[in-house]
Amino acid sequence: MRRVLLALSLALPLAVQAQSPMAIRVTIKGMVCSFCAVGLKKTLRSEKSIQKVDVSLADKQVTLQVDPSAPPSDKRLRELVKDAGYDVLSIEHPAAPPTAFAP
Amino acid sequence: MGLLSFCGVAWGRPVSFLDSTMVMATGQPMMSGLSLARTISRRFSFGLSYLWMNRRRDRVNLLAQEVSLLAYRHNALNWQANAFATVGIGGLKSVGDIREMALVAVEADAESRHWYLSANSRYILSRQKFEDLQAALRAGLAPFVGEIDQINPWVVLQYQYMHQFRNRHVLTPMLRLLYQNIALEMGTSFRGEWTVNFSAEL
Repeated sequence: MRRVLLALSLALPLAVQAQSPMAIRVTIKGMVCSFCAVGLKKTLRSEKSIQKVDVSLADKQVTLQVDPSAPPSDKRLRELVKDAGYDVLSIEHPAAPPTAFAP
Repeated sequence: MGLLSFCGVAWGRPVSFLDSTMVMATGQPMMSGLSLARTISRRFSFGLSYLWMNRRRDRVNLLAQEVSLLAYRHNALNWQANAFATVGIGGLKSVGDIREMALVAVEADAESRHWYLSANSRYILSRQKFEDLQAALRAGLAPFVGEIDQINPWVVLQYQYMHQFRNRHVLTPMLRLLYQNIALEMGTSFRGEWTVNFSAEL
């Protein structure tokens, strides 16, 4: 029984993590106004694997919540940003936050 | 921001993000217009513009189909700069006479979250002869900056040169309000001519 519980406690966080969207932070060059931000959001949202886009004009950053099973490549992200008229300065893949079930 | 060309004196960008549509409208006692521009690639857009002009010698209705090119773009971390070129063909009605017309326009702008500069010029031909020349210079300052979900106010000073108009030189201080993908500008020139501009990027 203990072994079963131990296996469950190890497997559950992995399952939860697999379903949680993954965050990617992109720093953008040229994004200076709300028109820019709305256009960029619309272009990024057209990509299936991008579930949510948050924009910070002050930080010149967009934070993407993406499907962890098929995240967009950095190359694809750069293309999308270019389609919107901007350039990528950097792409960060912050580590997933620890879950409450983590052992 | 952004965002520029065509209603009367250009004030919205003719080329925007891929698959977007820019809607621009302008109103002044001497000139008003409506313009649509669909961006079909990173550098090109197709558009349609209607313009009404109350000039020194006549009143003109103009309808033109336009192609715009984003000739230059620079993205820096805190600012951006653009240069556009446009050509258009269409028809012009003046004092009951309808004739074909063509136009060439150029425009450049640079902006950050705090300042904004733009310059544009449009040359109109009809029956292969000079019809009109219009140009504008604009400078703007943002008294404070906000995020995407806040209204961003700007103070803009616009100078217009309109060759065939009674008042060739018009200087207009304006208030510009940006909210997400909508911009509204309102102002009155130093001679009392009002201006209302609207644009939306869809």
